[in-house]
This record gives sequence, structure tokens and C-alpha cells, in this order.
Amino acid sequence: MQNNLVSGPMRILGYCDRPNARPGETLDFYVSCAEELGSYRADIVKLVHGDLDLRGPGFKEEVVDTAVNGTYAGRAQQTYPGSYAIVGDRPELTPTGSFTVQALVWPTTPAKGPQGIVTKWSEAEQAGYGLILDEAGCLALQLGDGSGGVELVSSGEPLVERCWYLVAASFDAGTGTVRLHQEAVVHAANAPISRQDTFAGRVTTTEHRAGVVPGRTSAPLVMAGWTSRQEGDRAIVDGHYNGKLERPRLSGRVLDRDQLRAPVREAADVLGAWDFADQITPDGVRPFTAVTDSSGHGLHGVTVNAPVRAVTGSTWTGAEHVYTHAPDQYGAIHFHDDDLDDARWEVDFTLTVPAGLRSGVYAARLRSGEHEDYVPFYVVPPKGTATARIAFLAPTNSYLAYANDHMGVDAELIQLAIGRTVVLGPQDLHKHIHRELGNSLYDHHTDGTGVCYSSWQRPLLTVRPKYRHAFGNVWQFNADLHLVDWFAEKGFEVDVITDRDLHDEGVELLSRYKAVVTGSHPEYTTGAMLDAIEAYLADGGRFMYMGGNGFYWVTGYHPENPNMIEIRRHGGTQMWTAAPGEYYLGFTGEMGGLWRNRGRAPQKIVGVGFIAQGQDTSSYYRRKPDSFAPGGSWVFEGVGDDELIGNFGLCGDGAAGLELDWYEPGLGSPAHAYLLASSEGHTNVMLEVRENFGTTMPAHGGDEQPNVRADLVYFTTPNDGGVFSTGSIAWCGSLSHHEYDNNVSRITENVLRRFASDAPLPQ
Amino acid sequence: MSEAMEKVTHAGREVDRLIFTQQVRPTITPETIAEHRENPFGAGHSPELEILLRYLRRNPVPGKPRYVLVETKPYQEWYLALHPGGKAAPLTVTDQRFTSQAEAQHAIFLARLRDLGDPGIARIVAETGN
Repeated sequence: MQNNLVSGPMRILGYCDRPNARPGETLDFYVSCAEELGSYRADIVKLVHGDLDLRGPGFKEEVVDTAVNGTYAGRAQQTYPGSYAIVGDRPELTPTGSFTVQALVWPTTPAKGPQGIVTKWSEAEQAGYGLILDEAGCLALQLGDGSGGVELVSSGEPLVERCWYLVAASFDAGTGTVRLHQEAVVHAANAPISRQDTFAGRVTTTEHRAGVVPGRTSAPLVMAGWTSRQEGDRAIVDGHYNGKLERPRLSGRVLDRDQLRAPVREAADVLGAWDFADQITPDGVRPFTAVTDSSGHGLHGVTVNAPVRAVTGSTWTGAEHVYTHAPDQYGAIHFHDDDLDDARWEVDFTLTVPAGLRSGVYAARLRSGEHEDYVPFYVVPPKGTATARIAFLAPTNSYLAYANDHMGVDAELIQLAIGRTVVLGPQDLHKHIHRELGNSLYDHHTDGTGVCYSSWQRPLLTVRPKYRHAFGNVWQFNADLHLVDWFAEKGFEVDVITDRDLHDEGVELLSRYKAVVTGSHPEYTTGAMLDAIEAYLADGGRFMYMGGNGFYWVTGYHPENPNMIEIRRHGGTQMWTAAPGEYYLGFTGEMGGLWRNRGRAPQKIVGVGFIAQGQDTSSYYRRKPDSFAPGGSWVFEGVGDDELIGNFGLCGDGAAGLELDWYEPGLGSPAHAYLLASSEGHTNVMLEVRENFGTTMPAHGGDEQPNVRADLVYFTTPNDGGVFSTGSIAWCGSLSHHEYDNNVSRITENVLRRFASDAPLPQ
Repeated sequence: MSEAMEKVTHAGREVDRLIFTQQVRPTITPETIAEHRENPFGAGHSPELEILLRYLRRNPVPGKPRYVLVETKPYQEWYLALHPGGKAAPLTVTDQRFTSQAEAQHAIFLARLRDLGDPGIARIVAETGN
């Protein structure tokens, strides 16, 4: 048992390529199953309740009869993380005479082992050439003739981490001489490097007579790696480089320092020159995956596994922070050896969503012996229709943001914020070892930079029923099944729609519903989503915000991949901080960070916004005067005047916990809102969020700071619309307490029945 | 570690030694240990126990493993495991088994006190902990 736990216990894993499908549409499923298991069984199931807590209602699912239910042969599928750019083989890329290959680099892990900068190198054939960082982190040129002759010429001087360098290697075909040029380019703002450092501006040149002439290989030109081997049309890339790379260029002659620095248009014998700023448009980097050759030879390429674009380059001065305003200062791409945009597995089966299948939360349940995985997806209603009066807005962006997070194992100090030692389940152990499944937006790359992209096209081990987060509570996807289960128990017919549907269809989608209900933590929102919700509210829509810390981070979708999101963390409460000059989204060109810092605080939309987080224990609410007022008392029908609200529950034993929101008119909470109840009794682990105060001072904990509380709020909007907000992620964990007969369930039901009815809302 | 980072680490340790001596050491008493056994989580802790918990949770002892819990039966059974630190670094799952979270969290609390390496503290733990 213990060995199994340590190596990663999941023997079967799967994913589908998007979260949402309509009846009649197809959805591809990709499965990797350990070969020794032989085969596996797949069944489509409807998910109802996924929390295994012994105090709760337990696991609930229903098998749905579909054409894909059946037994499949198991096969292990490989995932190859690490980003790079690739240009297909062309004659110009294999100079027959002298040549120079150059780039600007900002290495983040120069000491990690050999890394490719610009290579046309086949590891399998030992042929070609490659400008690389060698084992010791020094600039080197690798040459191989494909017949056993291999030579590595090194500068012998390691590059300094996070310092820009102009690096080049030339090969003189007449003499066989290799010349290396390694020049530290330290400006006032282009790196966290002082101009007073002893290495600033240093130029190292190396000359060596090589005994090898580079041989021809059909391997592609690779930037930030090299070709390990070719499998059919696909190059398997290894030697991943961590760091930024800018203006790589290949020239058909030996160049001196001035020629290395000359603009492409003034340079002679340019074979290929790639300026990554060429894709910068006013709307972001378009096409996001393209790299284009400005030499005139048409040696265009693509990026793979989504390296980060819209990052500062070697010429960044610190004066301009909007990359779309100064593309020439943003000509770099930041590559990471753990980037992943798509696991690129083979399809195992394709579900055609049966016509008439009720909108809801479903999954492909994959089983082989005792091994099991679930691949969740949402069946959304047929296009242009609603099949219920109520919609559940599944916060799929937020599931993506947290997908495969490694906080429990990587963030050592997180135990301070959760007030306990982390608890790891099978999924946690598996993704700890199997880093090839990619990161969450809460993680750091292997080079220490924050992860700003997340894709649905990979196994998402945190987006699973039965999964409990390492912090000790169910979270996001599985926590939202608390609400899905409650809908079923209370007999509410509900359609499910996802963040992506809302982004694409806007207010038209919402306007088909009398009431729209969120998940417990809808934190990652695009501008189009906010626009749609506000338009819905202005036109009589009724919105129940069932969680905490919602509508917080500016989020953008990839311009070409609809299931990949981007954020840039700054100015909020955050696990990492974007570098100076990198606050703008590469996907869209807009400023990232908090919606609050763009003038769109959540208080203005749902009446409450983020005030505190802490995950040790949850607490309860106490009724406030507005809950007895004529316009607010209907929410509490059946609840006693002095009852504590939610002093029970599956999420930390209370309805007010994990992350809390408060009513704050100063940030835009409507003045006419009813402040129905507030939580109290929080601990000093529940801390006020950092964006809420200016200077440092003591008393930010829930045991000393009265702002640290969840506020329960109701207000009306124009045309008989309304908003009800719980202000706490833990709220939904209390719904099932005492056979669903409790005051949290009662309040929620009072509001939803009224919101979903045609009756006017109390003013 | 670079020479510059060694200086940083050294400076931090010197400050932490003072914090420990003045603020933390006085909280390590049979009373706080008993209090933690009764209530390892959340609300109602004495200020002394809170100071001690926060100190221990930031893993102040260099070279000691990080403790984590591995769940082997959902909500029912856990094993103590040691995390050597680092991405993808294999964990060592010990044979120390727990059937309640409170029991597990308290055992880790005691282990961290022992890891401080002070014979006087070890004696208090031996006399009052279990």
C-alpha cells in the first residue's frame, strides 16, 4: 500500500476536451489506463452528491444509459510537458557554409542541466547544431555530424540567473572555428539585477577550432529545447529551457558584435529572424501560438504548450507597462519546462450527448478493478432554449484556476493559513509525483515564476467527485455538488450553464431564466461575464450568489483555444505576484489583477465582496435588524428571531467560513440593500485581505477585527430583479445538515422559491 | 546555496532565536500541550497556544522533515508521512496510523515540539504528551 501511495496511486485517468456539451453534440474522452490492468469499464453517470464526509448524505450518482457505456482496452498514454517554439524543417535552416545563431536570453534556471536555446539538433541522430546552455549553465554550441562525431564548445562562464544576455555562436566553415559571444545586458529595469553587480556588462568571447562539421537532420528548428526524437509528424522535444528568449536569429555568415546587434533590416545573410513582438496587436497577442520570420524566407513557426507571452524583454525601460503600447519592449517569450496546454492523448471514445438528456452535471466513470476516475462534464440545454426556470452557473473558470493545484505539497507555509497540517488524498499524491499533468493558477513553475494559464485539456484531478482538497474541505467542483444535491432534494428543476457559455452568449443566455444561482466560489470572471450579469440584473433578473470571494480576478480566454484561461496576479490576495511590467493579459490585452482595481468591485454587482480568508474552522451568522424589516423578513420565514444561522455544516462546522465577503457601501454595495445577517466568532486564522488596508498595522484577524465577517445581503434591482448573497464559501456545506431541515436550507429555499416565481419581489 | 542567500538565512535565524527565546519558549508548558490535545483546531485557543502553533507551523527547524497526513480511508484513516521538500519529491509514509483528525494533528504537534531539539522541551513532552 505504502509504495503505491508514494509513486502515485491512480492507475486510470481521463479528461475530455471541454466542460460543456449540448444534447446532440459530441464530446471526446481521452483515457490513460495502466497496461497491466488490461481493460476498463466506462459508464456515463449523473453526479448528484460527491462529498464522502460521514456526517453528510454520502455519495450519490445515477448511471445513464448511453452508447459509450462499455468496456475498453486500456493503454497508457504519455504526456509531454514543457513549452517551446518550433519551425518545420526547411533547407535555409541547415546552412551549408558558415553561420551564426544568436538570441537574447534571460535564463531562470541556468544550473538545472543542459537546455536548448535555438537548436536544429536531433538527439536520436546526434546530428545538427544547437545553441544551448550546457551542464554547468554556460553558453555552448553543440555540433554533430550524424556519424558519431559530436563536439560541444562552451564559454566556460555560467550565465547568471535572471540576467539578460546577448548570446551567439558562429561557425566558420572555412577554418572550422567556433566563436561564442556571451554579453550581460543589464539595464536599469530589465531584470532584478543591479547595475552595480560585478558581472553587469561583461562580454565573454571564446574561440575553438572544432573537429566536427554539423550534419543534416530533418529535425525541426526548436526554440527553448531540442528534438529528442521524431514520432511520425510529431517531434518529441526535450532539453527544455526555463526563461525568456527574444529575437532569435540565424545568419549565413560569421558575425561580429556590431553585426549581432544590428537590426534585421540592416543585417546581411539573414536566414531566419523571429521577433515575437510581431504578434502584438491592440487586442492582445494574435495569433497567440504564432511566431513569424521577418527574414523574408517565410520560416514561420508555432509555439507548443503555451509559453507565456506579453512579458518584458531585454529593452524594457520600466516606463511603459502596457505591452500593446510598446511592443518592441515586449519581444520576449517566457518558456517553462512544466508548461502544458493540452495533454495530446489519443481519443478513447466519443460521446454523442443523447437528445433529451436533462441538463445537469455528468461524468464518465472509468473503472478497472479497484481503480477509478471520473471525468466530469456539463450537459447544458439545447442552444437558444431554457428547460427550467432556474439556471445553475457552474464556475468552470474557477475550477480551471484551481485545477491540479499543488499548494498542499509545495506551499510549506500554507498550514499557517489553514490552521492544520494538510491531508493528502489519492489525487493529491498522484499529481504531486506526476507533474506532467500541469499546474494550477496557484502554483509556481519550476523556475519560481507564477503560473498564469490553465487548460481544460488534461486530467484535472481536483475537478472530481469524492475529492477533498488538501486543506481539509471539499472545494470548488465537489463543494458545488452540495448545492446540486440540494436542488434535487428540494425538487428544484435546474439547468446548468458554465462560465464559457455565459462568456459566449452573454445576457441572452441568462435572460431565459427567472433565477440564476452561482457556485460556492465563482472567483474568476471575464469582462463579458460581468457585463452579462449586470445586464441581467438591470432587466429584472434574479441572482443568487451562493459563495464567497466571487467576481474577483480579471480572467481572459485564449483567443484560439476556448478552454484555456489566463490571469495576472497583482494587487490582490495572491499566491504569487506578476513581475513588474507584466500585469496585462497576453490573451486579450486588458489589465489583469482584481476587478476591484479596474473599478468593478463585486460589491457593485452582488452587494458583497472579499474581506477575509482562513480555513481552520467556520462560524455562524446572527440576524441583523434588516432581517426583521418588512422587505427582508420574508427571507427568514420559519427561522427564529434568536437562532444562530448555520452553526453546523460540512465545511468547517459552520456556514460562515473559508473565504468571506462583506457589505461595503464604500466599494459600491447598494445603499438600499438589506443587511440581513452577519457572521461572528472567527479566529485569528481568518485574516482580512491585503487589498483592504493601506499601511501595515496589527489586528487583522477575526478574533480582533470586526470587518472580518460574512454579510448576508438582499437587494432589489430594476424591473423586479433582485440579488441574494451569502458572503461565504462554506454556506452550501450546511444545506444538507439534519436531513436538509435547517435554517441555512430554509433561508436558501425561501429565497429561491420566491426568486423563481412570477411573484414580485419584496421591496 | 549562494553566499548571499547564506547571509540572509543566517540573519533570519539569529532573529528567530530571539523570537523563540523571548516569545515562544515560555509558552511550552504542560498546560498548552494539554490544551492542544483537547482542542487542536480553531476557536478558543489561549494566546500562548496560538503563539506556539504559529511558530511550529512555519517549520522553524532546518533539516527536519515536513509532516503531512495521507488519507487511506476517506474521513476515517490517516497515516503520518514525511515530505522531504521539493516538487515531486517522494513522500515517506510512516506506519503511524490515526483514526481521528484530532489525534493526528496532536501527534504532529508533539513531533514538532520534539524536533526543536531541546532536552527540557522533550522532557515536558514526554511527561505530558501522548
